[in-house]
Amino acid sequence: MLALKRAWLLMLLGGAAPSLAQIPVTVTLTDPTTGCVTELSAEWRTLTPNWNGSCIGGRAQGLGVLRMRQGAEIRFTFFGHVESGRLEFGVLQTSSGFAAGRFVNGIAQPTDERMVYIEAFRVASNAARDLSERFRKIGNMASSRAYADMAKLLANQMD
Amino acid sequence: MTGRLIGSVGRGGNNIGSDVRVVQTLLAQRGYSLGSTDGRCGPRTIAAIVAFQGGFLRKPDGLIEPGGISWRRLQPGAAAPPNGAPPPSTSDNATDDDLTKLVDKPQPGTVNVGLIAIDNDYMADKLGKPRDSYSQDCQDVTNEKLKKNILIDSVGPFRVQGLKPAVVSLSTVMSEIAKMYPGIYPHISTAGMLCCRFQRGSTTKISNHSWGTAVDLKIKGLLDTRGDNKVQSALVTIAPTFNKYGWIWGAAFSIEDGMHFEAGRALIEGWSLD
Repeated sequence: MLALKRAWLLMLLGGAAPSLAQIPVTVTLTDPTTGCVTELSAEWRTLTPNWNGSCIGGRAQGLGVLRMRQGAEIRFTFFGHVESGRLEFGVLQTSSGFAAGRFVNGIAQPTDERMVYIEAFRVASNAARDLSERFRKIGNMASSRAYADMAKLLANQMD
Repeated sequence: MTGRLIGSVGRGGNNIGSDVRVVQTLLAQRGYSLGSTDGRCGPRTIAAIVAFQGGFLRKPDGLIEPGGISWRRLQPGAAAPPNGAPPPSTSDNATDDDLTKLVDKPQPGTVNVGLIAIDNDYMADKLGKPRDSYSQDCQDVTNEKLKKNILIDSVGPFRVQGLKPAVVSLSTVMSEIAKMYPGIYPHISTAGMLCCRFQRGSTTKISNHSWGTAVDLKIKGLLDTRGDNKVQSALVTIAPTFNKYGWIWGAAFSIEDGMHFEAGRALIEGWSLD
């Protein structure tokens, strides 16, 4: 968000209008509950992140589950590995299906390598299972069961 | 032509010949390809109805009833539902639109009609085993005869690695989809064809992908969720074209697998490898 604001500020101060190359493709969004920062596709700028995983140096890190909300509605959920706030590898669940594999600037990279998809769903299933276990340990059995079911669903993709 | 329906047309409908012909003609006028307007309500007609309804119904039911919303929408002059309109996002993470809108999986008997699925024994007998050992990871084909017949090639909107006659057949399927469904064609991609491994979770059954005769498809970069009994509407539209060329759609499997298409027995029977 700061990078986007910086670009427009430059323009307002009489600098050159940002070219397409200058307009950033990512925005940094902060989980309002934990303060943990994620750096996501700029198209998600109106969504609120909720990161369930480690937060190192103030940024989301490692295996976890990232839910992107618009108000009360969850628009997307990412299961997998995040590196310094950025989606790296795993599965993005949408209302119409899954985007899976390696991510750059929040976007799943197209590939026809089948093993990438198989591995992505494995990593995603592990992320959901980890979260299920964390919920179990704090006694939130409903959420634990929900994420256990999700782990199973993810593990059952890709024949 | 406005016409008039006496009874319902489509999945579970009355399907009176003259009514079916009216609906087929109106769908064809809107660019949906059904083959012929022959007054018979088969899988292609139903698929076209579902695809048409996907533009304005949350849950297309494949049925057009006299006086119903689908019938009113089908009339000449009614606004055409968007056909393959790109989503607002230009990213690969497309959300709901016509092509990826989820609909109920096909009713038994409406797809893969007359096609016979293959199994490990048949494939081993016909083509040989791809390799001697398997795991849950993709490994190379080691069977020398099969190896000679594996190729990587473009089938139109994407490239695949697969068994040569399967790749050639898939290319034919894609060419026809390009002509019949130009709004869908550019949005089809793949999650891979050849992959020698056990079926997920098994230590005995080999995946049909091991012979390079099965392919999983993505629509607008999204994989259809396996096992939820829903399928992306674009897959419903293109499935009859696959069936026409002898490919079986996994949406009709005991566990719904809408992304999956595999060569059926009759298609494979006609192959001979170098």
